[in-house]
Amino acid sequence: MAMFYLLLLLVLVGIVSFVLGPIKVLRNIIAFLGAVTAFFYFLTNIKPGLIYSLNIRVYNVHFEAGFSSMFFGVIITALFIIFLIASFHEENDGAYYLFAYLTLTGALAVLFAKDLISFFFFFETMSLFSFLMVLKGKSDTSFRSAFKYLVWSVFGGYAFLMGTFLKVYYTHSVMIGDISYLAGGVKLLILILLLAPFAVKAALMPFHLWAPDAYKDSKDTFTVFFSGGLSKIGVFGYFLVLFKVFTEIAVKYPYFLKAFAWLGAITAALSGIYAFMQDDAKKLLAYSSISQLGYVAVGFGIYTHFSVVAALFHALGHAVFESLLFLVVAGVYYRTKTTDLRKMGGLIKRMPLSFIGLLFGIIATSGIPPTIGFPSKWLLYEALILKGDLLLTSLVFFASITAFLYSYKLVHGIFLGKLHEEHKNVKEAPLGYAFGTVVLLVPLLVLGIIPGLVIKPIDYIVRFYLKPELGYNLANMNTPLGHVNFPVVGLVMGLTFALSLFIYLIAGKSYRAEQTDNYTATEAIDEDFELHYAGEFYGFMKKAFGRPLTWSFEKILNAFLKLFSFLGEVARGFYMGDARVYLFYVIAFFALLAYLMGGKL
Amino acid sequence: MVSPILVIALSLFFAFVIPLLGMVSKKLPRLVPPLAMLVNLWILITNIKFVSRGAMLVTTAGLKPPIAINLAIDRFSLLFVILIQLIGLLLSVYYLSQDNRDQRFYMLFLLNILGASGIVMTGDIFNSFVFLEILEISSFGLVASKKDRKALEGGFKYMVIGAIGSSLYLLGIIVLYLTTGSLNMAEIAKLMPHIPESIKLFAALLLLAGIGVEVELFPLNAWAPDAYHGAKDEISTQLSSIISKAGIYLAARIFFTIFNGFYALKIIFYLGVITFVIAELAALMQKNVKRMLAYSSIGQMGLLMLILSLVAKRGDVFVITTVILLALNHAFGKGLLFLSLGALSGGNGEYEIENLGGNGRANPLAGFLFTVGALSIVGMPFFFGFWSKISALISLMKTNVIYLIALVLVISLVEIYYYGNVIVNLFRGEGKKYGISIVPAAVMILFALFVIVFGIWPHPVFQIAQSAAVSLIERTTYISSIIGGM
Repeated sequence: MAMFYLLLLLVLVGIVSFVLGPIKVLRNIIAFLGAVTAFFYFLTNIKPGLIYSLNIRVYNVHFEAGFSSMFFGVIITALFIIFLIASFHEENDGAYYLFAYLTLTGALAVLFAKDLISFFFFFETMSLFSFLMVLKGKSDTSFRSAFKYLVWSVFGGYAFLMGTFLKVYYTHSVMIGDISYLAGGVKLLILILLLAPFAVKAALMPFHLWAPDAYKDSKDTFTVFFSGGLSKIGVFGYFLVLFKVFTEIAVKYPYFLKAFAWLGAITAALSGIYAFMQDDAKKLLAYSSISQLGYVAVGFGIYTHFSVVAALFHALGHAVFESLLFLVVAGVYYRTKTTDLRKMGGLIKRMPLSFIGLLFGIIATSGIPPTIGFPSKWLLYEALILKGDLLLTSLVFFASITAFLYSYKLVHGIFLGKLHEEHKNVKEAPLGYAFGTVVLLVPLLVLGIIPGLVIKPIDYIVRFYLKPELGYNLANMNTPLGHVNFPVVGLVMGLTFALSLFIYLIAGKSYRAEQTDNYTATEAIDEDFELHYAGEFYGFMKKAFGRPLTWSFEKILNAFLKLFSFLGEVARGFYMGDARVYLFYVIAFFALLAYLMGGKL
Repeated sequence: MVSPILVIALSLFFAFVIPLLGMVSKKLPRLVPPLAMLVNLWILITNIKFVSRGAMLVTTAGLKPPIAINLAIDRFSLLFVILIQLIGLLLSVYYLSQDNRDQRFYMLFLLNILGASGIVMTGDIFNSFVFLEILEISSFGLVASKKDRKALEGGFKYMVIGAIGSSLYLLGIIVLYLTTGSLNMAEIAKLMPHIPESIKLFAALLLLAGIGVEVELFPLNAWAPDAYHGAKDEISTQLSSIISKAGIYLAARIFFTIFNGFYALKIIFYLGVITFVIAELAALMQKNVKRMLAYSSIGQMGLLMLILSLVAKRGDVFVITTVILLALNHAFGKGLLFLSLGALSGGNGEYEIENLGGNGRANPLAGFLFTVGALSIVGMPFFFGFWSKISALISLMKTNVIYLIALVLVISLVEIYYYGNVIVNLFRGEGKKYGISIVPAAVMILFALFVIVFGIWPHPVFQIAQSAAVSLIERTTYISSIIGGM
């Protein structure tokens, strides 16, 4: 019952916030309290193994809470609260909160769903309402992005539905369960179809085309939840399909897993490259988000105990640092009204807390200790090395280099360099944003130093399906390749930093410059001359990679759309005649029927 | 018990009363249709408990069935006639707010509903031809009642195709009469095993021509886009929500009850697939929203006929239940779309997507209602369309045509594409604001309530649809309850 009550609570809170729409203060209080209540209700009342079935007469909706649904549910609900608190600073109407709550309801119900039809139902619910959330976005292009997002998610949903029907047709069971005993290529087809919506949600290439636009054009605070939270449904789906639906995949289709890992690695690398080409902070982060989720796919594709542990840990890490980055950018947008990197710069002294948040965010994104990004990447690299696929390993290593590049571009574009004239009086981001930033910094650092806190539940999820190879306690990990102590790694990192700082302080001859100063060699220039360098930041890289980058997936998609347009024109041509033409159709039709049926007449 | 024959008699009476009332006052005629529908609905509802599994027989001229004309009402017909009268009531209430109409319009409207109800209730095949003619001729008039070039063109095309269809239909009846010597549906059904195969097929094809025009099957539906486009928005609603529903009923009754499956359903299967694919693809490229809705309507009817034809493979109650669910979703969802499109375009015939841009934001209620209708038609969760679409897919799975599920899903994606495009455009930028008066708004809200309420709690509709489906499937009960013994 607890799961049903939780979902009901969320729907009711959504409706109440909608009704209270114009009374802003009351609405915000209700919305906030609702989310917090839901979070604590989730933590206290929902236990793994809980089963509930809701009979709506025409269908039995089955719910089951497993370890994995608990894990992702907590992440999603927590991020929802952070999104909600920050969103109170924006101009939103009641419908916005209704849609937000229904999106969350759909997402949690997807995690709990035990049978495929309910799964589809809630997946579509989530897609529909998150589409409406994007539709209510901030810019003129949000309509186009929302539309794209809708079509892609529904495409994924329908692929899933097709897989569902195939599964039900061959196994006579609608429950989520093993299909590996099925004969021949059918199970592979079902597998691919069932995996499609999650590849869309987790923006695995080539299903990622909606993501940069939708992330960019949705409202800034919603993007925090959208990128950090909703994409976790995709990761959850990977886990569901690869472990629960097809238990023997590693034996039967190792090549499928290999292809999946490669797709993940290509996603990570290509999106990384796309990311450092962007001049818009949100779009850069969108590609960064896609890239990070690529690592998760790699982890699943390698399919060993600690690669999957690494993937799930990285999914959590992604939720923490990517949300943090989006939240900081949202705060910056709130103050400066821009996300264009070329129009910002030097905000470090104006928004110090945001700077610290972003700094740790990018450190985690690059996988540097002592942050949450480090343990997962460490494990993933070990898994790759043990697997022995050199090409794949080097591609993933290359992808992490791109993370350094776009991370630096982000921090430089917003916080470093010359302060813009119009941003001289910018203040720190308001309380809602600051709250989220501080809250997210805690797991970011704590889990980087003592990852055992989370490795334990993750190990519980994975242990059931794969042979445990990973020894761990709170702060240590033992792998076939060796041993790592995270606090020590963190300490070394800290000492190195302290040492560099020390050397910098005693040895450097520094000249103190104002943030607005211009400094060039030989030539004198005006005070207000623009010297902050953020656009075309990696122009030389663009030259180097330019040609391959033009082979975009979008072109393939457009060819496909053209085919449909052509078919549509042909179909429409049929209805363009006048009455005589239509008369001819009728006569021709009956002549044809008489001919075809001639033998029987 | 009030005799259901009054539904027909009273409608005729009211239609004749209209010109008399028109002489008294210009305002009176428009009050007549809602009154007539209310009385009819009351009559039908009092009869619900008398209609059991078989058909309720209503004799005329005091003679038993094979000789005299009779009405034969089972639960399947009752469901359809109530649906027709209900939508008729809603539409006639909608007309209350419009005072620029000719009194002849109300007569045509009443006759139209009368024709549709007659088709659904009659147990006599020649009688069904008469009602079909009443329905079609009044529809031509209704389509052309807008009196501009497009409306006249649509009406004319409809008339040409419709006239051919109904004369072929008549020919089919003649063939059946020649071989069986009877015009009573039950009697013909009973004698069906004795008719030679080739004559059966010939008759079935001829009847299909007449019905195909009404249900908008592929080569016979060329009139539909023009007629839907040219007609007023309410008339388009009527075309999609009432007239095509009578066609579905007739198809089920003739090809299932009388012909008991047979080749005709196989032909309908292929025609349904072709209609579905061609119409939805045509809608994809359409820039004119009303025409797009027309194509979408044709496509939905194609899906409906396709599902209906599956009953031949396996006499499954679920398949017919699905047909009813799809019909209900189409009646309410598409009706809502046409009506709200009228409100969004301000009734001035600007249906191009560019002209409608932002109108949903300027007219939030109409925009919301259009969105509800579109989401229900594409089958989004929490709308009635979800259940009908899932049922359609389950029917396809049950009858082992699994490849068609893929086709239906691909075409559904096409539907999402063009409806999504319209919805997104409706809320983009600044639009023109048109007022909406309270009566049409209330009618549209009732349409929307149907798809939302039963989308959340579909069980009552499933139950009703199922009991109606059972009474269609048990054709022997139908036959024996009318002419006894089989």
